[in-house]
Amino acid sequence: MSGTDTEPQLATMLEQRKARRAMPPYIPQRDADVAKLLQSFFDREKTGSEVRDVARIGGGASKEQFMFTLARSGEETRYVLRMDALEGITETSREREFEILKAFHGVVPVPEPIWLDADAQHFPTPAIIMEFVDGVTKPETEGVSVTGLGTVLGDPLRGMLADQYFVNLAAIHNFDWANAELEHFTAPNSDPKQATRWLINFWKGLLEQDAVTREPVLRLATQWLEDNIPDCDKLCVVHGDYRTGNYLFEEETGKVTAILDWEMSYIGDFHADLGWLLQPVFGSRIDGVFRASDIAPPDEMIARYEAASGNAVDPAKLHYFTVFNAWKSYILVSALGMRAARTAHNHQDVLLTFLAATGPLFVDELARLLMMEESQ
Amino acid sequence: MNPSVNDRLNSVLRALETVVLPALPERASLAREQVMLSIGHIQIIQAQMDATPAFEHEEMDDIRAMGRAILEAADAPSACANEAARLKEALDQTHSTPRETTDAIREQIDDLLIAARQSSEVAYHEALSRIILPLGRERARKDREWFAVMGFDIELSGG
Repeated sequence: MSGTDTEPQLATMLEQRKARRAMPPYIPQRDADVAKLLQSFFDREKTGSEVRDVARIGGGASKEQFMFTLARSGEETRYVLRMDALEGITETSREREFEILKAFHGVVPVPEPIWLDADAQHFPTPAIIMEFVDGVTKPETEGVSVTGLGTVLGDPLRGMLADQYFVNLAAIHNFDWANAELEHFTAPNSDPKQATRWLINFWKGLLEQDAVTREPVLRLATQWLEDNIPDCDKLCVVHGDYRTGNYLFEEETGKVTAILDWEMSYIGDFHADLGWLLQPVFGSRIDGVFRASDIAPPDEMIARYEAASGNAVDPAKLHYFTVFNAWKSYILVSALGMRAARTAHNHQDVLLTFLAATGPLFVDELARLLMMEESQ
Repeated sequence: MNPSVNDRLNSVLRALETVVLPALPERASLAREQVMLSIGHIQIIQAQMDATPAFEHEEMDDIRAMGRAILEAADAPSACANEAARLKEALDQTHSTPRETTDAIREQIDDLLIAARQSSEVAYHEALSRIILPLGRERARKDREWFAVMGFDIELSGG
């Protein structure tokens, strides 16, 4: 199969993003302008509504997000507007995000998506509006961290969240996607390697478009990933960014209220999610104990996932996706993030250049993993 | 007396911390985050400033050492001869900044890896890999140490 074999929707995205590269710097949206845009949107979509209390939501390194209240006939409902910047740390589709949230509404806790402006017909860039869900991504004691990395849940929250963490991930991976309305996702079914080949080709395409420097270890990793694609025995929905920091919970009860950040989801091999959530950068090390997602040490994470899902984890495939996720992480922070900052195409350039300092972590990890391969 | 770079950055920090940040309303979350990140960036730049030229020179020296090791380790097969010759040229050139030189050498090593794989020169590709991975890892460890002050590295930042 050729190196351009990619999920059709993602191949289109790779082409479309080239046209944005030459655009002038992106100016972040202002609350007052967003309020006007929302009001005119609802004047058409839900006449008699009044938009109130528009306020930006902090955090995140890819999308502009605003919370607002919609008042109509004496009722008030809170929503979140999520809009693309010109470029960001990820390259994703609001259409796919809308669809996957719709598909999982009622399956696991997610914010219900309500409106979609996929082609920026009304908003300046593609946007979705979803229900607002109460909750926090980290305990209040964690203080101010704008990078979203290294969240420590601590006790007793860790224990209160752990079961839900695995039950929800199992529900995602065991979801009957074939009978869901996922028009903008394509099932990779030509051969058992196609799912992961699509994935590699998409991320390699992003790397080639956005790399600000060429890193020999990354090249070796790319070649290794292309040469060692494992068969995928069970196609499932892969969340793509499942980890602590990407779900909301009630701090007092420890109840998970919403799983967030589905924008990188696709149909593929569940080992990809495990390789992602086990990464050191998303975990904690307290008194010498590493806990992935600050939930549990890696062996316990795998055992609990297997028990919750019934999916047997293949160590060789997990190793492959450990390499893949270090490679993908480098591409996110050191290629897409740095390129977006250099072209001034994001609203958080200063965050993107901060996060890019994690790049050497992933180069080190890739070199270590590939040296392990060589020694075998 | 001319104000030093450090004096000037300190004054910028003080303005951000004591004037700009307190003036921003709590609801201006993006603006507040950006100011806090800017303060963090400047503090780290200050901490690294004096050592930066030496760091970038060492980075250049390390990639030069990798390039030389590649050329010395094995003769390039004919399918990769052009790329190997270009790497040798890049090693002999000095650009206006160490970073430009580093990037130019990296590019030629990358081209050599592509050529070795495309031409199915398996043994040569393995020889390249045996050199690049340990040296690349050694370099990445130095980069991690350099950026440990940013706090995301749970191994090196004491997190």
